[in-house]
Amino acid sequence: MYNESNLLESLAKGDRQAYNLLYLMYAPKVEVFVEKLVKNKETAEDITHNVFLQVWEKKDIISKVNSFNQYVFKMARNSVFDLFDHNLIKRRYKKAIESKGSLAVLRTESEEEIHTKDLSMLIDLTINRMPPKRKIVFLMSRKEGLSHKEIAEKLNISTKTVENHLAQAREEIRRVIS
Amino acid sequence: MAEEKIIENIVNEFLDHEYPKEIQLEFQEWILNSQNRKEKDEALMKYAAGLRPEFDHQIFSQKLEKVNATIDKKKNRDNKRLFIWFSNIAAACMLLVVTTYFLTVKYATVANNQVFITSSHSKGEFQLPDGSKVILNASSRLEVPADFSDKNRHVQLDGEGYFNIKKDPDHAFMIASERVDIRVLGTIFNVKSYSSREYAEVVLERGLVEITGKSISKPIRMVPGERLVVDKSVELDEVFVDNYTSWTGKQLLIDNLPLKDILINLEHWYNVEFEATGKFDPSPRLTFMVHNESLDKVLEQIAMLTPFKYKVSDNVVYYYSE
Repeated sequence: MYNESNLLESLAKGDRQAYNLLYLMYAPKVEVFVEKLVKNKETAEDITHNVFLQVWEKKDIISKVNSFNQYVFKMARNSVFDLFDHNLIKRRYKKAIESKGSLAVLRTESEEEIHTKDLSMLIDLTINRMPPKRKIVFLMSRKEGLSHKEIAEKLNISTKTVENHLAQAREEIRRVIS
Repeated sequence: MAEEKIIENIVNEFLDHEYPKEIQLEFQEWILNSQNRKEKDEALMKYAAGLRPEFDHQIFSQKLEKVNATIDKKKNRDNKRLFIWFSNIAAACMLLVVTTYFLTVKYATVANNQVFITSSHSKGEFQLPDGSKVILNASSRLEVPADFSDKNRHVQLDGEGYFNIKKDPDHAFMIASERVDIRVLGTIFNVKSYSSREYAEVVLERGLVEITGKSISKPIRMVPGERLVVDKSVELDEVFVDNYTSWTGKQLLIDNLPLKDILINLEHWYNVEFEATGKFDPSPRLTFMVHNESLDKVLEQIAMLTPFKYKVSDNVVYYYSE
């Protein structure tokens, strides 16, 4: 039986019961967290498995950390970032070719630019989780610059429906950016 | 809007929803970008701190076994022979645990009725013909009449059971016991009603139930999170349902709970009663897991870590705080 302070000490001594307890307390949260980032259950299970293997292997260090909670989520985050990094290698390579290998892309961005980029990222995410019809209507209106009437004809719906979709889309975007 | 807030919203939006591959890559690139590293990390950690997932204990116990197996495999490189010897014993023990768990539900037929009985040291889990699931605690007996069917759902309980009733608004499920009778449409709840004891207790996790009984003057409707206690009087209060249903798991996980909640968990896990004999400090918090440990062992350790004093006599734990 443990209280919070001696749980990590027991872990450092190689107490498997303490380890099992920490696993049952934290693994479900870690797995959900990872799954929400990688959007794939199996990958999330693999990463969580490896994170907890590391917990055992690094038990000496872990007993000295202030918060096990933070430590274990940071380990999970690092594993996820490694995976992301790997995913992006191909994409970066392609981008580098597109910009003809120019090093100009490496210049530092101004705060203003970062702010604009982040906002457009946030809006992108919001649009992309809207119901498919609403998303199409919104993109036709914003990106292609079509009128309500044109959209209504293309999609074979009423202009009233188009207006409703746009109003709701605007409302959703307003909600996340204000 | 402040930059931190935008970053937090991006993280929350992405984590909370499903996205196509292309958008996922967009996000991956964004989060890896070293601009505002600290704010991005804080947003992720804040999200992580708010997670309270519901999870299947059994599935995670299996995953834990896999992790432990991998750990052992690594150790095994250093100590091969010893490991094989131990693992055989471990496998034999596991098999024993599994078999006792399933064999403890005795199955008998009385006048064509099916009767499920658990011994004083075991629990049992089974499914009724209508798809409803029941977990019986120790020393309990559930009688299922021969004419039980999808359309005629009634059983008789003496003891404690955790019921997950298949929803069917047209055919109510009826549970009769010594002190309470329960009418159910489709729901999850815990009933404790031993004919040998002087009280009955119903705790509702989900759905709606209606309770009648010889000492209940008019039917009582319960809502989720409520507990009904029937002894000399009838009382309805609000409780933390997990305390009353944790006994249905293969192991009992106490995650930083105050002593007063721990006692409720143990009461159901060991099928005993707790009775305060003096002043009691309910506040000390503990974290532990019970698997096959005896009640004595657990109480002894609680007494070592907190001012808790106790004496066990005849399935009743008398306690106070020093």
